[in-house]
Amino acid sequence: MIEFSEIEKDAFAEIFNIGIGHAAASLSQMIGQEVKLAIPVVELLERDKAAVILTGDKQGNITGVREKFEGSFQGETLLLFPEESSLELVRLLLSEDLPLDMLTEMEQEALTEVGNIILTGCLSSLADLLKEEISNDLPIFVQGDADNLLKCHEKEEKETTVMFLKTMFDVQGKNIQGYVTFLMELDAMDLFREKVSRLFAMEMES
Amino acid sequence: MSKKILVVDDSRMSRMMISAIIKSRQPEWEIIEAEDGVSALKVCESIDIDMATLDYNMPGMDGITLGIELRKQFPDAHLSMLTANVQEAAREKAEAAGIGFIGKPVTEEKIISFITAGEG
Repeated sequence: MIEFSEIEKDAFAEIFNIGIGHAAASLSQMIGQEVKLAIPVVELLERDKAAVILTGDKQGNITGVREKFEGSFQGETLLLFPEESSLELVRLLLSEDLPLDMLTEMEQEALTEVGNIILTGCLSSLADLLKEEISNDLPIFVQGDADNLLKCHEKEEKETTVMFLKTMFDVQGKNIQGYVTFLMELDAMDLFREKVSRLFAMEMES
Repeated sequence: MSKKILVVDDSRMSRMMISAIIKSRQPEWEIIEAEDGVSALKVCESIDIDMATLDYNMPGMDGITLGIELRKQFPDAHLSMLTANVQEAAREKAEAAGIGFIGKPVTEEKIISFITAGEG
C-alpha cells in the first residue's frame, strides 16, 4: 500500500496551490470579485470515498466540468459547483440584463468555458512548474451527485485507489462556492511523485 | 479603415464576449465567427481577413494548425492565439508559427490591445 509522507503531502499541496492560485486569479478576473481559497486537501483513497469528502456535508446535485489530461502522467481534473452556485456564477459572467430563458440556455456553455479556463490554466501552471507538456481533452459538462461524477466512465473503478487533491474556493459577497479536484491513478501518481520530488530537490540544491 | 476580423472558438460564450468588445470599440468592423478550424478555413475561401483570434483546444483541428494555415493564406494578417492553454510549450509553438499569444480569460483590455496592434 502506497503512503505519502508528510513532506510529500506538503509538496503536492504546494504544487497544487500554485495551479489553483492561477485558477483563482482567472476566475477573479472574469467576475471582478475576490476569490478566496481554502487550504488544499491531499489524500490517497478509493474513488467512492473521494465522493464522500468531495462535497462534505453539502447534499444535492452538483454541476461542473471535467477534463482529462495526459503527459508523462495522466489523470482528470474537475471543477464542481453545488447547483445553486452555478446560475449565480453565470449571472455574474454574462450581462445581468439577459432574460432568464437566455441565461438558462447559456448556463451549460458558460460553465463549460469557465471550467476550461480554470482547469486548463491550472494544468498549464503545473506543466510549466514541472517542466512538462500536458495536453488536455475538450472540457465536458457534468451534472449529478458526487459519487457519479467521480466514477470512471470507461470501467467500474469505485475501489481503485486514487490520489485526490481538492480545494474549495469562495467568491466573497456572492453565493458562489466551488471545488477544484484532481484525480490520478496509482501508476500515473508514481511518475507525478517522482517529478515533484525532483523539482523540490532541484530547488533545495539551488 | 474598416477591417475584417475572424474569431474562432468552440465556446459560444467566448465568441460572444470577444465580438461584443470589438463591436463596442469598432462598430464598423466586420466580425466573422467560426466554431472550429474547418469552418474557419471554409469562411476564408471567400473572405480576406485582416485579423484573427484563435482558440487552441477545439474539436478537430487545433488552433496552432489553423494559425499555420491562415498564415500561409494571409501573410500580413494580425493573428493571435486566445487560449486557456497558457503553457510555455503552447506559447513557443505559437511563436514558432509567427502567431501572437493571449492567455484567457478574455478581458476588454486584452482584446483592445490586440485590435489596436492590428490596426498598424
